[in-house]
Amino acid sequence: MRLLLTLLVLLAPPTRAQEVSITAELDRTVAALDERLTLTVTVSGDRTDLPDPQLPSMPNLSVYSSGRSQNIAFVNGRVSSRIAHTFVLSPRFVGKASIGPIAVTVDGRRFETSPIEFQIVRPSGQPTAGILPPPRAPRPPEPSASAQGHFGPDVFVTADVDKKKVYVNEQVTLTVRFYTAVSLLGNPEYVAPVTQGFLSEDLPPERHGQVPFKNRNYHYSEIKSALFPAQAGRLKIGSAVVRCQVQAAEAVDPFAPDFFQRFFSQGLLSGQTKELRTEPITLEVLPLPEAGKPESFSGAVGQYRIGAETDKRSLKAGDALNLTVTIEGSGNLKALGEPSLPAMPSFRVYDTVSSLNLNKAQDRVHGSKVFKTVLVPKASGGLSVPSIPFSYFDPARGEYVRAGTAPIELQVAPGAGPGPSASFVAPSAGGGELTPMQEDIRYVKGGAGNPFLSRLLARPAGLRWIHATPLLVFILSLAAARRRERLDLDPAGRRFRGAMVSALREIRQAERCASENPSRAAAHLFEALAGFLADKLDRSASGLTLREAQEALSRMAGAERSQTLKSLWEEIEQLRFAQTALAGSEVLALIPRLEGLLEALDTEMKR
Amino acid sequence: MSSLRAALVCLLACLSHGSAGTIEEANQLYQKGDAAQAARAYEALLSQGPSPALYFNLGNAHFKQASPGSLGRAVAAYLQAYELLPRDPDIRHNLEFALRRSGENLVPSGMPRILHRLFYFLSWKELLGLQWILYWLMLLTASLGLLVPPLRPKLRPVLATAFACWAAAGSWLALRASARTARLGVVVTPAAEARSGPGTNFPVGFSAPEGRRVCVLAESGDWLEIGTLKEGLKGWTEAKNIQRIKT
Repeated sequence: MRLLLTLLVLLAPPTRAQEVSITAELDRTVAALDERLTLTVTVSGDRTDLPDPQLPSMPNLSVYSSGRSQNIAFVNGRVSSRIAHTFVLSPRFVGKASIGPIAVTVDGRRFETSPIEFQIVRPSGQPTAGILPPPRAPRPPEPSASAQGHFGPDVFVTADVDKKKVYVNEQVTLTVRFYTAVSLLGNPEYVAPVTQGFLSEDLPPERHGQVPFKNRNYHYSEIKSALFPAQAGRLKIGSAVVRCQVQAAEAVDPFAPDFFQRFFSQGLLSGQTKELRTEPITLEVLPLPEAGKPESFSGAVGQYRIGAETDKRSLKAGDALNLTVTIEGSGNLKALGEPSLPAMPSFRVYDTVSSLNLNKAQDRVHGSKVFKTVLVPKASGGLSVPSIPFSYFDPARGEYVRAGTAPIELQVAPGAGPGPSASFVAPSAGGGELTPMQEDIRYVKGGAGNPFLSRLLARPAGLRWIHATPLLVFILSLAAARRRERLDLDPAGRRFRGAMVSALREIRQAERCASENPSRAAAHLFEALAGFLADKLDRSASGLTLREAQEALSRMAGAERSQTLKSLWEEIEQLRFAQTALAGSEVLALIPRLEGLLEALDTEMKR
Repeated sequence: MSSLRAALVCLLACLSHGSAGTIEEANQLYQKGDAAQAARAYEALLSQGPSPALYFNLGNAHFKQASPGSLGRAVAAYLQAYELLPRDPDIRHNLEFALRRSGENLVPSGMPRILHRLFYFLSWKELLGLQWILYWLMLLTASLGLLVPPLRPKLRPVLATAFACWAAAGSWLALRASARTARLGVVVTPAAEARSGPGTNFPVGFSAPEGRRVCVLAESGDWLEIGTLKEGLKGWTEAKNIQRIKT
């Protein structure tokens, strides 16, 4: 249950804003005009996606972001995040100044800091002003370039980049320098160049210095910014613009009639507004090479290293484990994507939260991005968090670099409870839900034999010519049936063809009963003869007379057969109707003669 | 040491039976983790006759070796087992598992799994056997009816049922025949290069991953023309890259 609550808290949607707080702190309350102040705005809360603070309008200050630092912690099942944004402030005017409420809005609720007041004093008693820091020790105006051709101009501005040919997402440092050899009147106005196609980062603090140029000594102020080209091709950095008023020395005639009027109205020096523009810079942005691009490459360009660690090495199944993956190095860390975790079937892997720490020292954007993930081992035993691959393109080497974390070995003891449930639904009283672990092939089988159904069905497939048998049987049956049908349609012919068979059947019966009942045997013989003739002549056996039979035989088989028939017919009738006791042998003696006659007639008689 | 002991077990098993041993002995090798010896034992048993269980176990033994080509050989063995007994859930599971590793799916996309299971419930041989049994039943019933007319009323529903089943089985068989790859093969090398002709002088058209099912279209010496079932590509590859499936 504790784990359940922990995970619910970790994964709960960030709808609560009660825990958010914002504070602002200035490193000092009094600063000279040529000094820099550091403002630290800290936003903390119980969520990881804390928004950036909204700074109020600060016309008295130039504000540069110098970095951020973020910490995320999972403590007792609660997530807490703290982001410290650091800004460098350059005062522009002497006097009292204030920073209004700095706000952050979370889920529609606004959280603010209290206003901060501070004092800006003059450095060394010199009056200076301007968005660009003025020279620390302004010199008296010297003759202008127009007046003295071999001298440099009074003021000028330059823009330069550290390299003209870069890869996509590689840092380019843009330096804008404002030079002045004369005192400035009023505050120079600086308009940053248009950097379409780039992601831009300030690189504070501003720098100042002196440099001789064309026989003049210039004071300069320098603003740097880091640019990361977002696309390949020829990208243009627009002109930076500085508007300033410089003291213009005019020839004043002390004997002129309006000398005093001019002296008191504008003094001996008059102001001249100048708008200075830098030349646009065109960069050639090279695409990242396709050859050798690793699968794990997600667009990181720079120099990085990756590491991973867990907050514990031994735990119980079902317990939460914090996996922290840190990528640190120099490059566009803001755009750095989350490294894809390899498949970890033995763990339940929850969403990853990230924190960004930026540092802009030495004009390079560097720092670290930390990704934190909660893992919950699903099974006990020796488990391993595999190597997490990460690759980046190193523009200095011009090639992709494959990196990865070392595998982390864990010892997981069996959980005390029923183990982690597959969902956040509380297990029912009857038992928990099924917990899928790792898919694998199924184990080998024990018996080598084929199942009965398989044997039964597969066997006929191997019998080739035997399958002709039912077809043959069917054909024969069909022929027999047709024959029978044909016979059924011709009863006379059927009697004619079956006459011999019927006669023989009667003769066999006569043989069987000859010894016991000779009269009955004689009757069978007569039935055989008369029936044969009736079948052959298509007559009724009972109504057939000897005369009719003789006439028919005379026509069909000749007179001789007719005589034979007559004698045999009469002999059988004598035995049939004999008044004395009849011997079986007498009947049996007639059978061969009868069979002979019937066979002869069967052959000779045609329909 | 364990592999030596496993080899001794295998040898003793062979000597004691005078043959390839038993499936239980081969399973013991597998259980002890000696997948290579187990595979040899299963292959020896298969030389005595095909068996879906032996092909299944052989597939497992190859799969567990995790060496180059083992996935392809495992897929080939599972396919042999599936050819013999497609309705076996274990065979189906392992074949699907191995095919997924090689980037394929057993069930075509868009086809309901239950329909695929029904369609492949019987093996090709079983379906053919069922067809023959129904053919026998149908013809013998009809013959009996012809020869003994009084039985015809009783035989008529039997004959109608047999005919309907025979026609249904015939349609099933015809559909299976249309979906059947007669000369099926499996890629058994890590990446089989397929060229536009049977020789190394032809350029490589594509590379087929290990375990991928292919159709063997033609042969020329030591080269086979293959077609991939999934992408429909054709090319020539060396015969050693392909293991054919007995269908």
